[in-house]
Amino acid sequence: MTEVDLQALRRGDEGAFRTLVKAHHSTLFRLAMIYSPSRAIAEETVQETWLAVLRGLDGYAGRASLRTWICRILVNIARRRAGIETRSLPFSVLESETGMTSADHDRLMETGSRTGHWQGTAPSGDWSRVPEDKVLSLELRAVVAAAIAGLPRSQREVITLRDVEGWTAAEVSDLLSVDAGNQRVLLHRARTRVRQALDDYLRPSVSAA
Amino acid sequence: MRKLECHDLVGRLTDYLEGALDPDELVGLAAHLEACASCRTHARQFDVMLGLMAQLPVEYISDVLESNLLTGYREWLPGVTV
Repeated sequence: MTEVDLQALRRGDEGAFRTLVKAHHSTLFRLAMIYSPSRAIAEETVQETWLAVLRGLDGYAGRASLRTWICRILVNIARRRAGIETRSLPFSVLESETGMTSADHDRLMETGSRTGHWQGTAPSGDWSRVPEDKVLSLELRAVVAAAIAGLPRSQREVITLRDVEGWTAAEVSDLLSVDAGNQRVLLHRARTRVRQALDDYLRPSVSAA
Repeated sequence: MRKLECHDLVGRLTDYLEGALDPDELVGLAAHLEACASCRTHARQFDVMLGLMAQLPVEYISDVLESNLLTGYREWLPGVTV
């Protein structure tokens, strides 16, 4: 958003305000859902965010992108409402997990001369054999969305911004104050779980193919 | 250089995609993928998953929220110095 647009807001241009709100709604709502027990609460968080954005508009210095600035306000509001300390460590980084699910572990041999190789021939289903209409279905996207919703919060923050919203690593580090290394760890754990959920869902079709 | 195994690949796919592998690791990973059909399957699944996540349906604003926000905007305006 440019300086001109900010002036339009100050002039009372409702069209400019609507455009701004709609441009950012999906991102803000998805972020809000991470901290909210319901869609209704997430909507309240988005509403509170926009009112805070308007009140703080004069303080927007243009150092961060407007998107990052608005999202930071939302994350602060959402965490406060959820009773989460903003500066707390992302504890899931500290969990002693590898980037594998237990199912991945089960399929990799733990001992013997072929330590670390896949059991049998395939790591999991070959999804290229899944019928295309199923791969393209809304149902499959719902499986992905549900898997993301079930992730620990810090993993869900990172995968939502990086893989769903398409933010760069630098933007996500800036918004969440998580360094590049920790971000990669969180992203990989999150992707590992989502892949597993998809594989669990698709495996029956693969076997039947 | 230690030979790269399946569990290395499974654990480091994101590091690879993020450009966080050093040149030695990159060569090892490419060589392993070349040799291991199972890991190629795993990597393809990663691709499909990334495509699905990038295409999740967008969230549209509800009429109630949009109307509440316009009300908030109109109430904010009088205090603004243009």
